[in-house]
This record gives sequence, C-alpha cells and structure tokens, in this order.
Amino acid sequence: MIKKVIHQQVDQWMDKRLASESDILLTQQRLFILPSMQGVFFLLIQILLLLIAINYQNNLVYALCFFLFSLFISAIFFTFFNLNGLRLVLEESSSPFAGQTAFVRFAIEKQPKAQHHHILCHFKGESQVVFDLLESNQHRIALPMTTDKRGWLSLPELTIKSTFPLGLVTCWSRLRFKQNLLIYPTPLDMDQRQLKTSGRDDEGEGQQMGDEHFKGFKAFEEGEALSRIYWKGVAKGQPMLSKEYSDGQSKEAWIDWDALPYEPFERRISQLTGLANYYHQSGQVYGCRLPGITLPPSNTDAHYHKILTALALL
Amino acid sequence: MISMKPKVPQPDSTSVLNDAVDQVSQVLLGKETSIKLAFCCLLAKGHLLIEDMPGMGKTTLAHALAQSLGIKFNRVQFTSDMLPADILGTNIFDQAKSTFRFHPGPIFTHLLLADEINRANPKTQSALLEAMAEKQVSIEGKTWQLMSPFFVIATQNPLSQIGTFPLPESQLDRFLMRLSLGYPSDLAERQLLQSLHTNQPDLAAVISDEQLLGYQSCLADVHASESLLDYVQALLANTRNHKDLAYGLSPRGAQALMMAARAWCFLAGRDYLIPEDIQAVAASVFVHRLSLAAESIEAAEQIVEQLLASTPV
Amino acid sequence: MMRRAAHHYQIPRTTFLWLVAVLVFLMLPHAVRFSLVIVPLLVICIVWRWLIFKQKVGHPSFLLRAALVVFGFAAVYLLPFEWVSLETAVAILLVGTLLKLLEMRHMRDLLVMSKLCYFVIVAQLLFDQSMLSAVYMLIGIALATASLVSLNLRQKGLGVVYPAKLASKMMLLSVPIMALGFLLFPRLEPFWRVPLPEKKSTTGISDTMTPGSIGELIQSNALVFRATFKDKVTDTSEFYWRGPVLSYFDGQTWHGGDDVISSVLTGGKIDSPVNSLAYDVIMEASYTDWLFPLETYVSSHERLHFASDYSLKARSPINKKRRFSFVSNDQVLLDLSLPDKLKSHYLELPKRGNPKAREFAEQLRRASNDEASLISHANAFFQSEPFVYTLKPPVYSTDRVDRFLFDGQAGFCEHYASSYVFLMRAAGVPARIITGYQGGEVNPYEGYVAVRQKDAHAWVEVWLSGKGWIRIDPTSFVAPHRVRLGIMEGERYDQLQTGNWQPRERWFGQETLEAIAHRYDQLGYIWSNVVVGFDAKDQWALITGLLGLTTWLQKALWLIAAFVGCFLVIYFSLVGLPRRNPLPLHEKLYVKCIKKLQKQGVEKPVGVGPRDFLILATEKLPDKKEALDNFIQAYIRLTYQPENTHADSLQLMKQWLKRM
Repeated sequence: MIKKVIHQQVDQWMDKRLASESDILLTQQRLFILPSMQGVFFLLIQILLLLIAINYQNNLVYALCFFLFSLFISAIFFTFFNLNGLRLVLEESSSPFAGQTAFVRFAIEKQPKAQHHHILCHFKGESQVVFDLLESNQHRIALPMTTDKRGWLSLPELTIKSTFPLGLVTCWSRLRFKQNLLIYPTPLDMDQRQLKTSGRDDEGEGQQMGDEHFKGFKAFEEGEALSRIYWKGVAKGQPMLSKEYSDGQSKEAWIDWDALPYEPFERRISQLTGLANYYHQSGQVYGCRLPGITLPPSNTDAHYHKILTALALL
Repeated sequence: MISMKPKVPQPDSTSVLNDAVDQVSQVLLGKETSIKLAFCCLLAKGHLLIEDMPGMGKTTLAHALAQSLGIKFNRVQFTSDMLPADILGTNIFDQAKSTFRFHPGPIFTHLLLADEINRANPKTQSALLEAMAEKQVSIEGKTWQLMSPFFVIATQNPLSQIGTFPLPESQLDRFLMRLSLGYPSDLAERQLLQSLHTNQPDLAAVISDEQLLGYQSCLADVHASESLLDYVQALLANTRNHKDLAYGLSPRGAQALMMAARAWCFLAGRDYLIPEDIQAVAASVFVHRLSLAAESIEAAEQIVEQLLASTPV
Repeated sequence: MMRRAAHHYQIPRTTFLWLVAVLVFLMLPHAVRFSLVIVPLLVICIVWRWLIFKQKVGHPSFLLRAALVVFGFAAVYLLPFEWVSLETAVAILLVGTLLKLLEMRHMRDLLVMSKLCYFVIVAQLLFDQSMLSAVYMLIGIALATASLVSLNLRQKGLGVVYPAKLASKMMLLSVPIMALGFLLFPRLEPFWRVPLPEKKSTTGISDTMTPGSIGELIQSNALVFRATFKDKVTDTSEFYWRGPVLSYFDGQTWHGGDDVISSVLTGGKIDSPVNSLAYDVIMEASYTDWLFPLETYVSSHERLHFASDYSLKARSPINKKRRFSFVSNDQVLLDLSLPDKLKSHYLELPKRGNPKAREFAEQLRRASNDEASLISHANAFFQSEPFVYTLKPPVYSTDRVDRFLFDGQAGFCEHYASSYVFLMRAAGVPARIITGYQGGEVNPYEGYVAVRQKDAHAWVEVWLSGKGWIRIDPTSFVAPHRVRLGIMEGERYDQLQTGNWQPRERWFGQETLEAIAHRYDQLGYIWSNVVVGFDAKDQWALITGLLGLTTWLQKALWLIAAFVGCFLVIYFSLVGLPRRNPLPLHEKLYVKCIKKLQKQGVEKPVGVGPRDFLILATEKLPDKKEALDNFIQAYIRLTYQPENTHADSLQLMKQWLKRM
C-alpha cells in the first residue's frame, strides 16, 4: 500500500519533471546522473586499492587510488557534458499502419564546436538507436515504436542516455511527450467485386451528358443511346460513330462506408483502408463517403492522407 | 586637376539627390520608398529588377529616373523573337569601305531600361545579364567596353503570366535589388485619378553623370562600426540557419547588402551605418536571392521580415 | 533494458590494439621479475590473439585453456618464491590477466580486462616505488584510460589519437582531486599483516665476509642510502659508515661473533655530548636489518638494536625505503676495558694455517716493546713492501694470509683488513674487522651524501688498553687515493702506478652527463622524500604548520573549499571560461534604459534598431522626448560612429538615463 503511494508520488514528480514540449533542450534540470554497474565496480576496486595502500603503507598505491577516484569524478562531468546542451526536436513523422513499426523522427541538434559521442536513445520497451554528433550540428534519427491499434497513439516515454567516455557513470534523461502519433488502420486487401457498385449508376445517363466534355468518336455498338450517334457523319455517308464524352463521374471510384454493409466494424475499416491504398497506388481519382464525412474525389497525396486519417479516427 | 571628392556627403549632394527623389515622386505618387531604393541601387552601382503586374508604373519609374539623372537612356522592349544582337549590336558590312563596321546596340548607354525582360528568350536574357556583369560586350572576338556609369533597370511581369521565360535562378544574383511597386495608396490613387494628363511630364535633369560617379565613390567613406558588422553577421547567420531556407545568403549577397545599405545611408545624409539602414534595404536585396530556396517571392518576403524581427539589435 | 552484447561480438580493431598495447606495456616490468611465467605466456597469448584477430584460428578450446592454466600455475610453482607470498599472489594475478587476454570475446571481458590493468599497476608499485617505476606506470595508467575511452567510442574510425587525447585531458583534470586526496587522506596504520616483497637477490654488506664478497659489491652502483646533514658537507673521505663487525675467522670466512656479543634496545631522548653530529639516513630497501651510522653512533630517535660491538640494527628488516635519524660523535672512546672473555674472542685464530704470518707476527711482537710500536711496525710493513691495490687480485687458495702478505701482495680492502687483523691477533693484540661504507658522493644540488655499493669497504679496529678500540685502515697505507678519491678513481690511480694507465681525457659532454646524473639522483631523492616518504607526520606538518589550520571547523572549511575548487577547475575547463570581455558600458546603459522603459510600458521588439526605437518610444512617451533623444543619439554615436565623434557621449548617456 505504502509502496503504491510512493510509486505514485514518484511518478507524479517524474511527470512534472519530464513533461516535455516537442522541442527540448537537455540541461541539468532534465539530466540525471548515477554510477553505472561499471562505475560501481570501479569504486569497489578503489576500496580494494585503498586497503592495499593502507596495509602496505604504500604512497604510490594511495596516489593511484585517489587518481582513479578523481578520474571517476571527472567522468561525471565529461558524461554530463556529453548530453548537456543537446536539443531534441520532435519532427513530423509519417503515420504508419497499425501493426507496422512506427518510426518517430527527431532532429537532434548540438551547439557548434561541441562533440557528442555514443548516445543511446529509445522509447520505453523498444529497441534503441545509437548515434554520434561530431561534425554536423544536426542529426536526424527515427526511433522505432510498435503499434497495434489505429487512432491516436501517445508517444511512450523516451530515454536518452550516454556513458561516454569511460562508461563509469550513466547520464540519462527521460522525456514524456504530450504529442500523439496518428496510426492508420491496418489495411486489408479486398476483392474488388465485393464492392456494391456505386448508387449513382441507377440515375439516367442523359442527365450527366450536359456538363460533360466532348472527348471523341468511337465505333457505334448495338445498344448505345441513339442520341449519341454522330448523325452528321452518317448523313455524309460515313460509318456510324457514336460521340464519346469524358465521363469522370461514372469511372470515379468511391470508398464508401455503405458498400460493405455486412462486415464487422473494424474489418470494414481495414478493408476500406486497403481499398484506399489500392486506389492511391494505381493513381486513380477517388472519393470517400464515411459516416459524417464526405470527401470529393481527388488523387492527391493530401487527399489520400485525409481519407486515412478519417478512417483512423472513425 | 585635383578631384574634389567630398570625404563626407556634403549637404548639397544629399539635397541634390533628395531633389531628384522628390521629382520622381511627383511622377510616381506614393512610392517614395521604392524610388529611394531605386536611387540606392544606382548609387551602389547595381542593377535593378522591378517586378510587378503591368500598369503599375514600372516603366514610368525607370523613365523618370533616367530623366532626372540626365543621362543617356535607352529603352528596349523585350519580345520573344529578340536576338542577342538586337541588344548588344552587330557588325554591319560597310560597302563603301568594304569592311565590317560595328554597329552598337541599345546597350551602349548609361541607363538601359529592359522592359519585360522575361518575355525574351533565355539566349537573349543571358546575353544581357552577362554584359551587365562584365560591363563589356564581346562580339566576334572583339571586346567593346560599355559606358560608365552603366545601369540596367529591368522590369518583369510575374512569372505566372503566359508567354514568359523565367530568368535563370543563378542570374538573378546579378541584380542588386528586386523591387515590387504594388498598388498605390488610397491617397495617391485619388490624386492619380484627379490628374488629367496621362502622359508623363518631362522632368528636368537634376544630377549629371559626373556627379553621379562622384557620389558613387563616396560610398566607400561611409563608416561601418564593429557593432554594426556584428549585427550584419548575426543576420547573415540567421539566414543560413533558418529552417525554411535550404541555404542562406551568399557572401556576394552579403556584399550587395552592405553596398545597398551604404547607399541608403548616404541618401539619408549620414556618414555612418546604423542597423536601420540594413533593415531598410534588406528585403529588396534578400528576396530574389532567398527565393531560390523559398517557395515564392511572397514567402521570401515574409521570411526576411521574420529574420529582421528576430535578429537582436 | 540493457541490450545483451551480441554473441558474435567482434572486438573493434583500435580497442584491441589499445588493450594489447596496454597489457604488453604493463607486463614488461613484471616480465623482468617473473620471466619464467610471463614471457612464454605473453608471447603465446598475444600471438594467438593476433591469429584470432586475423581470423586464422578460432578461440582456444576449453582443453587448451585448461592446459594453459595448468602451465601457468606450474610455472608459478617453479618460481623461487614461497607459496604464501606477495610474489606468488602477483604471479597468479599476472597469469590470470594474460589468460583473460586469450579469452576476450565479449564486451564484458574487455571491461574486466580494463579493470585488471589497474591491479597489474598496483603490483608493480608494491615492488618498486622508484620515480622511474612511477613514471612508467603513469604512462601505463594513461594507456589504460585511453583504452577505456576507446572501448566506449562508437565511432571506431577515430583512430588511436582521439582516445589518447581525451584520456590525457581527463587525467590532467583529475590531478587536483588526486593531489587533494593524497595530501589530506589520513594515513592509517595497517589493518592486518600482509606478506611483504621478499628479499631481492641484490647484494649488500652482510655479517659474513668471504673472499671476494666486497669485491663483488664494489662493482655495483646501486644506492645504499642517502644521508643529509644540517651543515654542508664537502669532504667525505673521513666518513666511515660502520656496519657489521666481524670477529670470528675460520681460515676462510670472517663471521660476526654473535654468541659473545650482547645487544640492547636503545633510543629515546638524545643524550648528546659536545660536537655531536646529527644527521638523517634514508635507507633504500636492503632486506637486512643492518644500519650504517657514522663512527661513533651515539643515539637515535628510534628504538634500535645496539650491540656491544657498537654495531646497529633496525628492529625489523628494511624492506622499503626508511628514514633514520642518528647522532654520532667521533670523540667517543670505546671499551676502555675489555672483559677477558671478549679479549680472548678478539684474539681467537684458527688452530692451524698461515704459518708464515704467525711467524712474522711473532717477529713483530719481539721487535716492539709495546702495542703502539707493534702497530707502527706493522703499518711500516704495509707501507714499505710493494703492495698493490687492485680489484682483480690473484686467487689465493690455501693459507690465504701468507700468500697475500708474502707472495701476491696484491688485493683490496678485504685482503688488507683480514690479513692485518690476523697479524694483530697472532701478535696478541685484540682486533676485529669492520665492514661498511667509506666516503660517499655529495650531490651538488641537494647537498646530501649518496652512498652506493661501490663505496663498500672493510677496515680494522684494534684494542689498546687504556685507549679502547682504535680504527686502522690498512688499505690507506697502500692506496691512500682509494680513501681519498673513492674506489673507481682509486683503481685508475693503480693502473697509473703499474703502468697500464692511459691518460683519460674528459670527453665531450661528460660534465653535462655528470650534471644530469646528479640532477637525476637529486630528483630521486626528492621523490623518495616527498612522495614515497610522505607520512602522517608530514601530513600533520602540512596541515597545521604550512596551512596553519588548527580547529576542525577550519579544516573542514578548507577541505570543502579545496574540493569545490577542484570541481570548478574541471567544470570550467569543459565549459570554457566565462566571457572575458563583457558588454561595454554604453551597451550596459542601453540595456538599462530598455529595462526602465519597459517598466513604463514601452517594449522594445528584438529586431528594432536604436533609431526606430527612439521614434517608437517618443511616440508613447512624448514628455520624455528630450531625454530619450539625447540618450539614444549618444548611444548611436558610441555604437555606430567613428571613434573621434564619441567625446563625452558616455557622460551624456549617464546623465540622461537618470531623467528617464
């Protein structure tokens, strides 16, 4: 019980201390420093050396012992300055599909002239990225993060740490970001034929013709509307041709929520996501009709992402 | 004869220049800043690019400028079928002497107004820009020096207009400044509407070309203090670190900035630069150089504004 | 959270090079000491390691490693050391370290290795505290630290220079805290007994004298002790550093007469007679308990074994450098009366042997009426006969005294001393041999007297009733230059007399070299005094004497201040010193003005220059127009105009700032 309370207290305190904007300067307020396992060993060795020095009354062993201690103190400073002054900027990251590994992008900037070696960075429970900042003042990293559900995913706690140069002390900082990353739904490949055809097909063709552009002629086929026949040509003794109009409307694809009435909710979303991917890759113009949202057809990237966002947040 | 180069701008020289500015201002109403900048460009021995929609007074400005300076003035209206020879000149066969004689083109003048430069094809554009940079023309192996002072005012329509060839990005640097006149203010527009004459009145020549050369050499005497250079360097560093700019201002651009600022300072009758001089000319010097990196002129203008606001003085 | 080191961890090339370099470097001094163990293992391990590195062979199998371990321990066992001794422990440590080199596969092994290095260093420091050893080990520490840096580098392409540079920087910054710890950490008494380094095989004066034993010593230049005197010493020829007294002769060897000599523990307050000489002797580790005071020892601060033959011993063998304070007085007469038992001891000779010498002694006795004339007759014999002083005498096998006195007549101090004592005893005068050192070299820079093994000497004391023991140096009759010039020069003098001598010119640079040698010796002296010999007493003297700290509060404050100072040194060396040239005054005033106006509601945007700010401020505060105008115009003059226009602008700024 008490443990729990203490845990909560610590957590609250950490939350306060670690709460981070998207642009963070690492300073002594955020950096923690403690001996690493190596460092503890190192200190134990010094105690051993001190015993040797005392028992042998050997001043040079004393000196060595104090020297190692002093080196340890120096290491604290050096390790601290290996992280101090770094600036982490959360950059815009592309949304992954749920189940994929998300790569959250950060730009890490240093002060000119400073050098930073061997920095480890990872999200809680995820694999880490190791990098140096030596010549260029900026380095971009993409931290992996596993995703499972669509929708907004709050970024896990980020740990950045370093033990350079001697590995005796660990300097680290934990950052908790308020930002969320949007995860797109898992796409599911789907059979095109499953789709219920667009309801607009029922409407008369004649209505559409008026506002369409003339595109060209083609050979007349049985069953085409007579109004489309190029009568002037027929009168001149030419073969029967029918006028063709560029009818974007009827070839337009739609991502239609109602097209899949019988699928379970999540599966429906996944299938529609798969469809959006298909359309986007084939460069087709397509629109989107979802409960509450209708997006006019387009084939731009922005449009694609708008649809996926809508699907993710449904 | 000992040249009487004034060490500091004499009150008369400033007033003479300001008279010229006033005179031009009467023709082009409510555009005093742009006119001053144009004069700066002239003083700093740079070329000027005016970019705006048709009918905004680009040509009027160029004309008035030339007239009030009383220097030799040529105007070339650029078209897409124009050839380099139409501007630079060509060798003509003299039948009487049966030799080739060089017939100088319109570029052999003090002030060249290159109207709608972006209508010309790239070859012609390039010929002009090269001549501007080198102050000389080479035709069939022979080199002809251009006149001094030599000053080009080029006007161009916005690039989105149909039938234009945008100036190559690398060549834009040849212009010291780029100005955009914009719509006149309400007051100025009303005055414009009230006035009856549509034709430009003739202006008296206020400055001679020798005077102009003298003023130009005066710019070197304008004092730039360490503090000011600190400020300029901070500004330059900011252009280079700005997150929306792929690259910052080049050293040549920096030199151009200083020259323009000196001219502005001279025009104001001071013999020392203050940060306000830099700020006054920064936009016109920066914009066409930074727009290489920024998406559009407007975006570049905004960025320059930001840069000036964020660089501490 | 820590990711496990990958299984196929490939030790980076530079790191590997660093570690091997460090190990070889640190092992070298040990290799001299434990050559049997270290050399073969070192070669095997490094060659194997190299082959692994080149991917010619794999890591050694368990069997092979086991074999190497067995070999290592067998070799340690074969070493001529006791089983429970420091030497054995160190040898085992070294074997372990070397085998670890072969085993290095993971990051963890590397880390263990880097820590083991420090123990190898300690081991060397336990055996040898000389300056040379310390400097060598300092380089070793630097290498070890650099290898640690190299281990922690991600960018392996930075080569070997970068880690070395960084390590040097860190070490340099670590010096202040180390010095502080060294000076201020209380020197505690040992917690428990530890095995000390065993006796080295180096020679020194001992309580026996076999033929040639001193001759061997004389070849050695090793330092025995240094003595420091209150007054400056120039001539050391009369310095006889008295060591073991040899009184029992078996025909071959002289021994100390332990069974008849009693000893007492003396010490405490100095009971100093007039004209006593007080001096300090810093003994090098001799692994014996013999001490060598000047004639004649009077007293000491410490409690020491003082024998009835006036020889002096420490209470325990001198296993490391130690300092003694002695008082001597050459006026003191020894043993005015001698008990019969002792008298007969000092007259004892082997029953048989050396008949000629005995006969000659008998002649001398008959020729002289008292002991004094007997001695002078004996001295005259040594002076008149063509005796030769040489370090390479012929070998005298049987009846050595006879052969020397009447056939060979060539030898050095031990021959002269032993034959002299033989003659005296045969003639009925109690006599004994004193071994020790004679002379010594004065260091011109530090003023101490350095006594080396080459100064080893043997002389004679005879007992005259009513006068006590009197020192006679028979060598000086034959080769006075030996006493005057010291052994090396003395030998050259001999060559001169025998005609072998080649005039030796002082070669070019000899003086410089000698000066360097003296300087080096001086450094060693300072080192052993200040660093190696720094003890609780010195510490106390430093704290209370030099710094004048008496109360605990003072000490605590000083300690804290010193540590903070050390931290600041490190901090600022990393951050860089704060800007030396702060804002000039007019800039400061301008900043003040901006702050003042801010309080009055006029904010200065970052990018606004002074002139525009003036306009902006006057608009908002029209009543302060004059002050603003004057102030900012003055500021503009100071900041942007050429210097000749500045004049009293600063004054103006100050004036007008007040009115805002």
